[in-house]
Amino acid sequence: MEPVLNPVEHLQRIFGPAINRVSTNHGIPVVHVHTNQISAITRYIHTNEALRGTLSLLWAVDHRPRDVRYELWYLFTLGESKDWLIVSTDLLGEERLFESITPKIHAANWYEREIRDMFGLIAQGHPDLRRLVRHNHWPKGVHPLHKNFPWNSVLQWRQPPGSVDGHFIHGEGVFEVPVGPIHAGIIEPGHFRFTVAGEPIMHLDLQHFWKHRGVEKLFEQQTLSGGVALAERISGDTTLGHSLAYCQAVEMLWEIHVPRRARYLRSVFLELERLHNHIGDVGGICNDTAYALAHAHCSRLKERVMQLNDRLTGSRFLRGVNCVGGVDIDLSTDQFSELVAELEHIEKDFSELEQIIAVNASLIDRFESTGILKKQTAWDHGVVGVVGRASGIDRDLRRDRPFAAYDELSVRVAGSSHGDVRARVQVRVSEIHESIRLIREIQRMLPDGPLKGDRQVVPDSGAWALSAVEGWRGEILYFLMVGEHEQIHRCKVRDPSFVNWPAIQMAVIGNIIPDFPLVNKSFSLSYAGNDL
Amino acid sequence: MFKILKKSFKTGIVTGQYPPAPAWQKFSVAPTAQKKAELFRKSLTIREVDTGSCNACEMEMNALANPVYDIERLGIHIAASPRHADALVVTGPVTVNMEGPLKDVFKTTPNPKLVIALGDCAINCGIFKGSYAVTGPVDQHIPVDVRIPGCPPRPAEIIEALTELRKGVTTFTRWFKKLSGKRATDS
Ligand code: SF4
Repeated sequence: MEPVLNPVEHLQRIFGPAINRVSTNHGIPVVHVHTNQISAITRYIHTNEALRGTLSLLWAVDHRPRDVRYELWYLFTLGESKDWLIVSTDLLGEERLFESITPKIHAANWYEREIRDMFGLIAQGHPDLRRLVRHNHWPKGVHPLHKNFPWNSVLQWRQPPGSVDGHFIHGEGVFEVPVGPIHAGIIEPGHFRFTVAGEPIMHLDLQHFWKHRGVEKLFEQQTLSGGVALAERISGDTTLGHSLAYCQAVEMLWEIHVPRRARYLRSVFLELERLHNHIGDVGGICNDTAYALAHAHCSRLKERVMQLNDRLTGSRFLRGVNCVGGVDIDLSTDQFSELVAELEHIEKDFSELEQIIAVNASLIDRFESTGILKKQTAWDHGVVGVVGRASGIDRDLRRDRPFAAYDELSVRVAGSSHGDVRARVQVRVSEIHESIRLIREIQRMLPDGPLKGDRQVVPDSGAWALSAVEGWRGEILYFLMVGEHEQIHRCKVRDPSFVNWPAIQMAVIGNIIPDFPLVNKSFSLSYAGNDL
Repeated sequence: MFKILKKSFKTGIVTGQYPPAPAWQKFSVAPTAQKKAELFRKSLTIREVDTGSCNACEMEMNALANPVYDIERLGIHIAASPRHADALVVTGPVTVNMEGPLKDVFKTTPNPKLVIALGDCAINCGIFKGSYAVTGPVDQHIPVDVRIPGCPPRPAEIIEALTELRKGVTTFTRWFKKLSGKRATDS
């Protein structure tokens, strides 16, 4: 029998000469390969039965002025083990072309378009190289993440704003319904272009990035210790998830040992964030079927959790809770008892509501078989988080790559295989109960001790870390590379929305437009986190 | 049915169950704004426009409509279109991509109208100040009448600012004062 090879050995055996070098960073294997082999190697990782890697992140780094080269990084999460594997390749000097992997790996689509916009590196063979982040009125040749592009440049418009180009279907009886960027409710801006023939949607074209604020470039103006406030403001509803992911990355670079109490408190706050968002979403989804009663009750409960946040931390959104090295907010025993008592109330209240919702036939009728995202489609697009779990993608970083205190807690991961709106509601409902259970479990286990650890080292220029947090929406990833004098050289932020948005285009096909708000709400994605 | 009623009775009325706004956050109302707001004293219809916020400001705007804050009780409504609005609430710094839509919305809102800048970002771009992708705070593009600072301002603070705004001297009281003043001189 053949010995079981680890993924790196596996690749070395198949692609030996194409691999320049192999290294490990914070336990993550990095395989550096020849540029012309990138497509073949990534495809192999994606399709090989033993590896079955999904593309979790694809990003570029401009190494100037340290080194005159760009580097492309491909992060894969491997099928069975859920381990990470990074493949990287260099574009030396002024080389700006690389081979697109999108024709083989759907999940790379938006990443490669983003890299073209932000760096001016062109993925050759990409099937759809329209602009993504830079809308059409942006001047030509502006690539904000180039190192020689000043962060505070003032852009000169090329043409009046508002023109966007989309993909169109032509034919008799086919018409288009444009929606947005300013919507009817209090929601964030995004442009949706539906192509319909009669009632069912044939095609949906998303145009996002209206809210692009240049977050990644703003990070590069900060030192490692100064980025927390910005991370908190990437997507307000995920304040804690983002700040935690950022802090963890810095802690890796500084080799800080975060004390146990701080790690437990981080888990508590992360579950609180999950709680208020999930409760709000269940209400919001019901509201989109015009079931106002459930919405009223849910928004009342959500408000209760947010007021609880405010009492415990002084912020309804848990701002200022995380700091590099640990947490700034402690919970006394009394506060913890108040927290658990309040959550008991909320859980009871919510369970009663659940019983009312569950027997409402007209509601279930709207939920069932609406907006189905098939498992295969979800896998192809690398869908994560609640949406993925509702479509049978059994991934949860709290269990698969434990962070904070999750290595000592046993998280029961919710899941479903139906992939419709109902499945997504069910996953949320189970996660609400699970969050409350986890907080109760933490109450029993919460250790005493300090709240902050100290830094051990000064990282060299070029050192990097990759951190991941399972926020309430899904996997939040941060790649952080340090430059001279602890200045941030590159910070790649990936909110789960960025990978889940393209999948919504698949989930709505065949549904009617009036069901779109329902499907959209059941995905519940962030525009701010996506647009950066 | 029985369950629904039982739930409603058990829950009771939750409106108003929130802590008062802290005193240290102070909103500012332009002198002309109160006069403009006279017309909307009894009923104010708002259209919210997000020009690049982090979405926490939106969440607090949404919270205003929940049963706890229930701004409808104050005669404030959220409109689905700027054409139906008396006031625009703008959140976030104005991004390069949202500058056009913001100006369009302002144009389509009928006169007289109020503009309320909600949150630090809308007032001075907050943490996003200076970025290539941001073209300035709201008042660089459209005139702003009311500024509500905070990151994000709590719903209670927003309610306080909106109440203050609409407290102004009404045409009726002015007319009444005038009349009663006249009478006083008459006798
Ligand atoms: S003011 Fe604060 S909460 Fe509001 S959009 Fe800006 S960063 Fe977000």
